[in-house]
Amino acid sequence: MHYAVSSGASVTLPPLMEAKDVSHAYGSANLFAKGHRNFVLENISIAVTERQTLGVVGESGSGKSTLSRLLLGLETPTSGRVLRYGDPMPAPGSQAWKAMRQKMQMVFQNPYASLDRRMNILDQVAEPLCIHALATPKEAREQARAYLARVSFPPHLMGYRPDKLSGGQLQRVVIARALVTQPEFVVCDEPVASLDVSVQAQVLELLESLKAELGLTMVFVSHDLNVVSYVCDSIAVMHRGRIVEYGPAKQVFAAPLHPYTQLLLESAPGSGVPVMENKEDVTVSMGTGCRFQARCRYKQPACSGNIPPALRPFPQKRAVACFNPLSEL
Amino acid sequence: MPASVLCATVTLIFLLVAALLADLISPYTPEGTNLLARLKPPFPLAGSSLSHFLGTDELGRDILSRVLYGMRISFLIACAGTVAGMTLGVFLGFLAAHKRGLVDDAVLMLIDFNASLPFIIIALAILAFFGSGLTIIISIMAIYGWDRYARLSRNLARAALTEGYASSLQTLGAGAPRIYVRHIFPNIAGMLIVNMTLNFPGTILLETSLSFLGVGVQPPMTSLGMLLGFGRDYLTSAWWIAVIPGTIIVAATLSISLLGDFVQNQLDGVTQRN
Repeated sequence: MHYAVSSGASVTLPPLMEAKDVSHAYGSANLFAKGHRNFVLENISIAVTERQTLGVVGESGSGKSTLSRLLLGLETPTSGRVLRYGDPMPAPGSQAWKAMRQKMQMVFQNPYASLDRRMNILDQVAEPLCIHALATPKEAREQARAYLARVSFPPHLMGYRPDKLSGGQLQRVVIARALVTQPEFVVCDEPVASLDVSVQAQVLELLESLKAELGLTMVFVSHDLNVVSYVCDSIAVMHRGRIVEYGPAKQVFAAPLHPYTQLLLESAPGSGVPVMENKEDVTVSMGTGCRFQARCRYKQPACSGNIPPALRPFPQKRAVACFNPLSEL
Repeated sequence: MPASVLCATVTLIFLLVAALLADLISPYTPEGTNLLARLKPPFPLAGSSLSHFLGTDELGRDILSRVLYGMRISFLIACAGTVAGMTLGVFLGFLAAHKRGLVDDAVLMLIDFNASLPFIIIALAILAFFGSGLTIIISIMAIYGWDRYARLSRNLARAALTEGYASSLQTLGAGAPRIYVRHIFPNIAGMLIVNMTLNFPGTILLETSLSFLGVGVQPPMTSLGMLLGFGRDYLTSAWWIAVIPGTIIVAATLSISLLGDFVQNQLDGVTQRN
């Protein structure tokens, strides 16, 4: 690994993770339908600075999981670049890529599916250390025990297999497994979506305290703006493969600029507003105008023009991709 | 455990122990002829003697000894063939799941090719080309069963690699050997075992058919199928030469099938409870 070391006095460090004009398409695997490509991300640019937490919000199909996979280097974008400390990511499967894996971890949505049901908890948490040869099996178990204790996992259950445990307990296991190699960058993909509401709060509090204690840089993917605003410093709202709004979490949450963000906030459980029906036809080719126009209550003639709105900067480090942002109405 | 399964288990253990101990318990050598005691019927029938408990064949060879040694060869071929078939199938299945794309297509085509031809034709073609022999016959048994293991392991591995524990291991940086050998294989072992028990009777029957046709095991080696094949010339005059090995084949295959069904039901129960 090489870093562009500059001997200059005032150097602004590049962000830990950065996506530059990234687009990603999933090609058809069918032998008879080659060439058909489905773009799930288009021209995404975003940066995650050290010790910050970025929230990525959007409904299902908005491309948020794909973005997190690209940031983790699990896939290579179709076009654009993903940079880590300003350097390009190594190719998946290469030696450098394998070494990088211990520094970048992921917490999955469904803890039950992401654990091996035939292996006991302690061994599974110790496994990342064995994979990267960071410890002997015995030391690995010791460290795993320490991390399981740190996430408040009951010690007497460490020898059990996953099917004996609850969702909240399993998510603690997954978190401990993600942290045991002391990563610098952690992506949480809907970490609480499959949990009961009462357990959600506990797991969020745990993540919040771990983040501060271990100095983690995180990307927090969720469809739930309330959850994101609780843990995140900044928020990127995604809609059909594009970032439509970006800004500091508190401000986005308090005064959304994009009508889609407003809709997400209103349709959150407990707000009392009925969820607006999704009338968008995702199969329609995305060519003309704003992609949100079908559901937008502030739609104007310009919105169905030829050019979709670009993400343009706004005061207070915010940005929005809308012809008529809410603050200007 | 139902009585039928218990019965099957006891029968199977009895047959396996008998086959393993053939050297110790068989009263004669399987090739030893005794022209003074030809075509003796099995024990309680008229003209039988206790010295040839299950009777003798047209050359005066002791049927009990021949069946014991025949069982040994038949079971060896079936076991080795099943294990070799599973190894081949699981390897190709994992390879297809791991490499995807063209490799996946190629393996799937091979599976379909194997499944679409009557296997006896493939077996006869191989025997015609390479001649007969224990290794060749075991290889044929492996080719007979590999496709089902391959399909099973490919599909289960793919499921784990896209949605499950295996994909999370990939993000942890685990290499392919660790993922496949330490995680996916133990997870699908139950289903492989069920498939093995379902495949096993078919393997025994295939060996029987080949030997019956005279292209399987060659003398002086004996197998159950060969005994059955030789016995057919004397079906009207000395039925026991064919019926006794035939009964053993039925007992062995039926027991394994019953046991396989039972294991499968147990595993289904476990999966449903999860």
